[in-house]
Amino acid sequence: MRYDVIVIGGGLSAIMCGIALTASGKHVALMVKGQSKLNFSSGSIDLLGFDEQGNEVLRPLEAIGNLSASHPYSKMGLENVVHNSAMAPVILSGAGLNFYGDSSMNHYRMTPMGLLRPSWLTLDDYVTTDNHNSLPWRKVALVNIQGFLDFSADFIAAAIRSMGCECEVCDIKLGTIDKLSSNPTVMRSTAVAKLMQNDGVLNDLARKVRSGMGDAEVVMLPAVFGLDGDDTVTKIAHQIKAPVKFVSTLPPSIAGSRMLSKLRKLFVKNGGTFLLGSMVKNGKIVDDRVVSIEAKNFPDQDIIAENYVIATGSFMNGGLQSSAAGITEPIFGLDVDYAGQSGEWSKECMFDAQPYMEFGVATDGEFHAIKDGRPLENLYAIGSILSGHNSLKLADDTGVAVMTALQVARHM
Amino acid sequence: MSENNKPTSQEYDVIIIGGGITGAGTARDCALRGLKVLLVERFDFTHGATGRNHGLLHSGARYAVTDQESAEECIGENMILRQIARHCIEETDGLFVTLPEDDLGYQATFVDACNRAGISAEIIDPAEARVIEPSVNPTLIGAVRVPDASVDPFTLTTANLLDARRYGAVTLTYHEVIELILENASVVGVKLRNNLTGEISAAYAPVTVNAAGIWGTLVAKKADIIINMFPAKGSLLIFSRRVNNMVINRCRKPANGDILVPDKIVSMLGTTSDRVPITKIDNMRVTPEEVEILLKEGVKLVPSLARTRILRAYAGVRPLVASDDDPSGRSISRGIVCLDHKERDGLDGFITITGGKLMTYRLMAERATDMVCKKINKVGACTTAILPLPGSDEKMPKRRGKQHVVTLKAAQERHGSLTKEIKENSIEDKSMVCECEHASVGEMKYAIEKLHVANLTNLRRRTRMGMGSCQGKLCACRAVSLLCKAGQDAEAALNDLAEFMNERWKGMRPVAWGSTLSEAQLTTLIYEGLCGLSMNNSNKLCHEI
Repeated sequence: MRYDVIVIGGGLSAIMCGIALTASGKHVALMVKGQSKLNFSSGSIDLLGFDEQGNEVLRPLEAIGNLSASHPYSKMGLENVVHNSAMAPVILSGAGLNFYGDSSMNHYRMTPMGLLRPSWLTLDDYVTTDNHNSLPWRKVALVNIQGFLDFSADFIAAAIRSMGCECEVCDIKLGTIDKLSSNPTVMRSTAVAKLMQNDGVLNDLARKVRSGMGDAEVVMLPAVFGLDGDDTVTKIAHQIKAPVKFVSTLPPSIAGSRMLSKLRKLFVKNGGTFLLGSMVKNGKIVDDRVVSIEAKNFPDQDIIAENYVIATGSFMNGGLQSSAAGITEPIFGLDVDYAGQSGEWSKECMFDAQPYMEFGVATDGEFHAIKDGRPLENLYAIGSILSGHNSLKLADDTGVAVMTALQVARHM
Repeated sequence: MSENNKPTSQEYDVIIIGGGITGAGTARDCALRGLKVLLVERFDFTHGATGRNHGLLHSGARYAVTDQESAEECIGENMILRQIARHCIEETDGLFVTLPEDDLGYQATFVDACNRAGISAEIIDPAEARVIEPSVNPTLIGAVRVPDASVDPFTLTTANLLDARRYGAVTLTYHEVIELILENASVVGVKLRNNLTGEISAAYAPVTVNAAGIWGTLVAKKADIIINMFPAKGSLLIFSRRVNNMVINRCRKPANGDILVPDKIVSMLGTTSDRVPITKIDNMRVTPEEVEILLKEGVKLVPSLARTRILRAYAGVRPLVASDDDPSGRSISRGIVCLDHKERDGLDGFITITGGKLMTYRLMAERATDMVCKKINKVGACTTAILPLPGSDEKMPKRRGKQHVVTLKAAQERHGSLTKEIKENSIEDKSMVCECEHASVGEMKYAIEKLHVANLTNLRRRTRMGMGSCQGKLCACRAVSLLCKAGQDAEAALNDLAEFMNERWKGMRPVAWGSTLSEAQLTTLIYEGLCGLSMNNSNKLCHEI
């Protein structure tokens, strides 16, 4: 098996990198292990929401200049961030994903708890506002589907009202949901989203919303639409006959699967190859170059490429592994930037900046991964596996994923 | 909860300080004997050592060799609790195993001591032990089967409180005694502060019982009484799945990390024992050394623990008491200590019940209540050894309509026959909040309405919500919405959620590596990243640890 580039990973950074590479004519394979962090997506991509002092960032491109040298944006330089951040929406819209927002000015997305968080790009049918204490409507109808607990209508309604907006909660009982709830474990967003693919159910919901929404200017719905394509998104808007906006639910994220499936389609359309269920075990390294990799599902086969990209994520995705003794990168044994004993990796308060969030593989200025102190010429690291920034505190996780993916793709 | 969490009067026959199992048991006993009871707890029920132990229903075998008296008390109470608290107990039986590095000669001494204490102890073949408990270290060279079992201390406390209330007791959470009111060398009442609102009030009774566990020494100090306590920290590890089906002990003198107790869907490995200063008892943290000791010993008992994710580590403080003639503490007893402060210190109207164990709470309550009755000249026999607790006093309710079997079964394990009070009126009631512990919305609503629930931590202690392998990853969000629906203000509810998740994290932190660290990262991503939760305006007045 020979490719120009093999990308190990299947999340946002891997797939964006794959798309950018295939678009320039490269022969690319994505080796995907399992689920990606897009399952926890908010429907937004965040370039930089807060600075390193914890202050909210209004103009992300201006604030990037003040980040520390270890930050991936600092490594690629502002010029490249500007370039890549202009490229990203073009690629996304090419995949059929339309976003609100631009990199000169952050807006706010609404979280599943009704709180506002600064964002760069948000799916254009999700609730956003340009102002941190008001919404662009006077009267809102908020839909709650009875029995679906992963959508906190009470919190969202309270938040909407606190921003000076009237909010009518339409508490809707779906006739068919009884069947779904016959197994109490399956009332997750994906199950409800599948239910919405049944026209009868969707029409029933729309009818009940119409009769309960009064004179609301906009209907806010739990984001359980658009699981496989835009079909249900279009239908619900059409049936309700009023402007419709979605609010993210607790995971699994339908926005995430929407993004993932469209990006995958574009990658395949570009001629890219998916190797699903790939468990990459190790890589053979000779003279600071990766020569081949081995995967569990392709026994006795050397998988060979000119260049390799590792986009396997942080601890939660298995890109980094920890034990009481230390932190490692399990595939290539790359150098990991971390410090101290396991007791020092975290802080007592969960909401403090946790040191472990900044741990990741070491790279040079071009994101070549480093092993035993020496950069590997044809192995790049992108996305959450990178060290040097706290993606939670800075709200830059998805931004770093996209920026580094595009940067590395351009570099090859 | 605000409605039923206020004193209904100022005058009582007895005031009990402490909402652990001892206080709850004493409140029940006093109420059953016709006394007008007020129980006050400064935080939540089971906040102290009651909620921080391994939930072992001792057969007494562990103490048979070293402390015959404790062993006899244990087996006696063991047999009683199996009758009166059926729904809180899982009859697992226990094994005392001898490993190659242990002295097999100890087994005979052990069995002999068990027999003398009246504990059934049957030597079984190691091969048989491997069959009945597949998780046990296969290299074992000896095994003894004893009537150990697993008990749910949260459920047991709740059942005692419910019965006390049924017989008229008033039980208050978040009410802290800030002063003992003295008159003519007698305690006549207590001054209380509501730790949620800051409100101050007073209540009066001819007798006050100090049942505050290790904190009892601080309560007594308010009347200038010195009780020589020796706080002994015991650390435990919880594993993310139920590894063993029987309690597994080491057949040797009690030492670190030699008990593994199955507790519904998890396993608990205990314990360590270290003296800590009294000033530290509100701030117990498990150290890396303790984790290492527990793991090292635990893996010898059950090798697969080495490959099992540790959910969290936590520590409780045993209220050990030195006898009065031994202030140095050389002969610390684990037995029951019931002090009449009139005889001991010349202060009437004040009793301290302490020492003892979760296992012997009923006996402790009986002794304290006997003393209360004597003081106020009330005649009444103790009936707590024969009257079943609420939840164990009726047949289990049958499945109704389309009720889900898993949630019903789980609810029955927590509430016994009281499961009948859980309503399933709507689709929502049937939905599952906690997928690890199979707790439904209906069960949450029942707990919020009937079981003194003001916040998520209370709800966790009543329903086990958030205690399973996900540690509240999704269920906390769902449950807090229900508190919000029940009338909690949205902003307060979000703060509660942040505090709850932070409390879960504190237990994960001592073991934050491997899959525990990965889970913690995912949880933080969901709550802080996706949901935007922060620790902005947490309620500092009532900071529970």
